[in-house]
Amino acid sequence: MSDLLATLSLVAMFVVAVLYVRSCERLKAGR
Amino acid sequence: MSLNGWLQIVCYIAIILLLARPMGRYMSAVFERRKTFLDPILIPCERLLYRLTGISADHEMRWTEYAICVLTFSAATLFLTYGIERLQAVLPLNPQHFPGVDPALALNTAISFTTNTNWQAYTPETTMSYLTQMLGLATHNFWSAAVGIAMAIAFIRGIARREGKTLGNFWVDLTRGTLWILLPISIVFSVVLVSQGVIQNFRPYATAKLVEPERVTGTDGKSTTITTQTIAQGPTASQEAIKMLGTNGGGFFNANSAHPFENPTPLSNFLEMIAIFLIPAGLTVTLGQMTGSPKHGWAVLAAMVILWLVGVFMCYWAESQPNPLLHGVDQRVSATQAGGNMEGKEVRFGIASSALFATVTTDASCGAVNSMHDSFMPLGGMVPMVNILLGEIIFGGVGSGLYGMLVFVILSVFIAGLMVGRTPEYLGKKIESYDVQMAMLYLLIFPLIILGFAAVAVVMPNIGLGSLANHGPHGLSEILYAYMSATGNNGSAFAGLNANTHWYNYSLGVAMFLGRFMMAIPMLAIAGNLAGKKIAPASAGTFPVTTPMFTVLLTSVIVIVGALTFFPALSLSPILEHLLLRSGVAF
Repeated sequence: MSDLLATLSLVAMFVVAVLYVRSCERLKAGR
Repeated sequence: MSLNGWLQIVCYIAIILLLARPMGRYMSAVFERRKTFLDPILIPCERLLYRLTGISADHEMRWTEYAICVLTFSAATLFLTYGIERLQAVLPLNPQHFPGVDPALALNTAISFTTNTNWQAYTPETTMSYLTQMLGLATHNFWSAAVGIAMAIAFIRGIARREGKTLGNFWVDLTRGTLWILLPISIVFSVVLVSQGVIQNFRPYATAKLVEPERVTGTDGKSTTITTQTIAQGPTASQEAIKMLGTNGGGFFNANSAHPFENPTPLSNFLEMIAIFLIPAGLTVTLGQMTGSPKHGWAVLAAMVILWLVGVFMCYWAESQPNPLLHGVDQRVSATQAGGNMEGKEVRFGIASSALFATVTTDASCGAVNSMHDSFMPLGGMVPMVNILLGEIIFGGVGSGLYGMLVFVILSVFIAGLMVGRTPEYLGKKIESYDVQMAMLYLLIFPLIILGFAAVAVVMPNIGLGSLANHGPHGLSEILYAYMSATGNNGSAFAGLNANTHWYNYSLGVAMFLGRFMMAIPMLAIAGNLAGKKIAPASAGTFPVTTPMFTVLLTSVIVIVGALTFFPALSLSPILEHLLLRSGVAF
């Protein structure tokens, strides 16, 4: 695994986590 | 089992219960920004930090902003650690001239320490420079613990506040948790550990000449004579204190707290175990203080103590039993032997302290070990597994243990509401569908990650099973343990599994990340939702959360959820191994 792949993986994980926050918030609003 | 062993166990829990109240009251004062004895020194430091970083201490955050700050801070510190690991060869404090850490291992380790897991797929003394250990890893021991405490405090505020929209300020909670709680106790504890013989230096590794040179034959059939032994050195005490206090668990040496430089005496061992439960026990009192219901805090603590006691009894009993495969060997307790299963245990700690340590380190999300869990008897080894699989809410990790337990509290209150046919309430807040949805999300993600990854690993003969040293049910235990330890952010290993491969480094890294953040986010969502609700006065239909009945219900819900989820997997691993051992088969 190269540094680029490791960095991209980490960025992807945090992006998913941020989207997850938004999804939980949207669920509350019933959307 | 011996009287001496039980005396140690009783003394341990008595001291924890005695310390819980002052610790909890102190922490509630810190986070409610009331006066503490450290204010004259720390308030100027705090103000300076806010001025340098441009933080407005009075700014209040909604749960989404709080969660994004947690993620941002974790991302920044994770990349910092990854960079230090990769560049350690050209950075200072590397007297052994270690090369940069391999990218897959660096990724795994950076996630591991950021998520408070401290899973170590490497041998620290042959991989990490002193700078990496201190700046890359030990700093995370403080940060990840402070993040956990901050999230627990945010949850408590969600319960305590009425018709509000905010949970506090993450940066303030992070700063105060670090400055007022973790740093002072770690400094004092480090000095105590040094007094017991834990080392603290920057020397290159020492070389000792063996009194009796040893002739060994390698796997290639060649014989060599070993005449010297390398003795690793390093700044250990400063890392050891926060490793236990912050329930991190990542050892400075590969042998972790079984290493004489990390844990030299029975007293240091006892104090290290006290440090693991100190903050989690105190946080239950903080919960009671901040919600205005001290009895509720004690009821939650009582549930933790009951589950802890069952675990420690089970583990101590299992490890004290004679091994049925050792025929004609006297395995009874006597003045000259511990009795029972001493494989993988340090003679200076014995069976009681090893069983207690294993129970405590897996009840909490610590993961430090003073004995090898892989060498425990099947039922003894099942206790650490069950502790992790229950969600590490028996005292639990700093912060994460309390908020995990509070999710179970919400579920218990919901079930009690269903039983009496009224809208469930928790300390005056109505528990509604969104709260239960988020609670279920929290509870379901955990087994999904563990069982999902373990299932993939066991169907891949080369990649998944190829790392195993043992096969059969014991091999399944090793794979299951790796994923439960990673997802539960525990970090202890069952050993017997070579996890420094691309598959395990990457899949365990993802499991650690998901286990930390995908569970913390729904918890913060519940907190944010609870904060906005009115506090209704208690009525005849309100289920009290301060009584022994509540403690019994909470304990039952935890056990039932854990058993329903994981019993099939456990029956194929330690339970089957136990039955086969009784019939004379070992793995």
